[in-house]
Amino acid sequence: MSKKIMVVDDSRIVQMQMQKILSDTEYEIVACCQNGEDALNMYDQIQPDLVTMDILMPGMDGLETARMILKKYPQARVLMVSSLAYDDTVDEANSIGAKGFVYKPFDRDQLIGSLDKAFA
Amino acid sequence: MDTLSQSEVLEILDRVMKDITNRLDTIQRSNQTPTLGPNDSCTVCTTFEGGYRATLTLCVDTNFLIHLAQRSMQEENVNAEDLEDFAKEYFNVICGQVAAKLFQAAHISSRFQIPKFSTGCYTPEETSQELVLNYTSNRNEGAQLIHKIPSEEENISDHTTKE
Repeated sequence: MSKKIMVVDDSRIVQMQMQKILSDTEYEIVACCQNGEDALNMYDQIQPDLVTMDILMPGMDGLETARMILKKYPQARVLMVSSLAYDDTVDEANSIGAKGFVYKPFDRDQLIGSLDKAFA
Repeated sequence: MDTLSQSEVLEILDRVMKDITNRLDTIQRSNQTPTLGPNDSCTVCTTFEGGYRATLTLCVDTNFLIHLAQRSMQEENVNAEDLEDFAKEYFNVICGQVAAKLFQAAHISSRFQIPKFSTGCYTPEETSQELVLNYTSNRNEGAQLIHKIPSEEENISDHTTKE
């Protein structure tokens, strides 16, 4: 059975890249959101197995969105996917309970490896 | 407190620009200012905030941007919406890497605003604290990365330092 993934990223390009990379894997993208507010609403409806979360987005940023999802659903899996790849940001992601951090630009192995690790 | 010289900032910008772009296509630094006309170029820009205050602007030949987008999307057909979306994401990655390198080099913690896109080449007003890096592709398409630090009046805090 495939694992349901919700992608939260304001870039359609990133959403397309993830669709292509994950198309022939056990991971299935079941929803894409372009901002944190939509992600919170969508999470309630879909209850995905994992959320990939960009940080820099219009409105609520990805760290705040992740914090709110994890507060409401402590069992949620959130994988941060961002170009803001430095200690402060990674530490903050870890402190709120993210399952990992994928640095942009990512390739197939990096994305799938991080997803596998998040489910391990 | 750690500080960065102009040459160190310039080195970071150049390294990131080449690292990110050369994943998709080849560019080289150039001593010549590229010709970027209003009808055949695009601009993306953002402002860095937090421990580092500066604006970063990228003006690029539209054909070069289309080529990068085709490679990134693995699609031959790139429409205007795709191009804008790609340009913002490409520049977002460049800025994120710049922020990461600033942190590694001088423990400067910064964020940046969501990049803005426009067609045509819109360079910021020249100031004494401006760094300009010129690039050219193998097909002679040009790009220009412009880093500008706010003037003294705008700059109320020590923008290149972190406590």
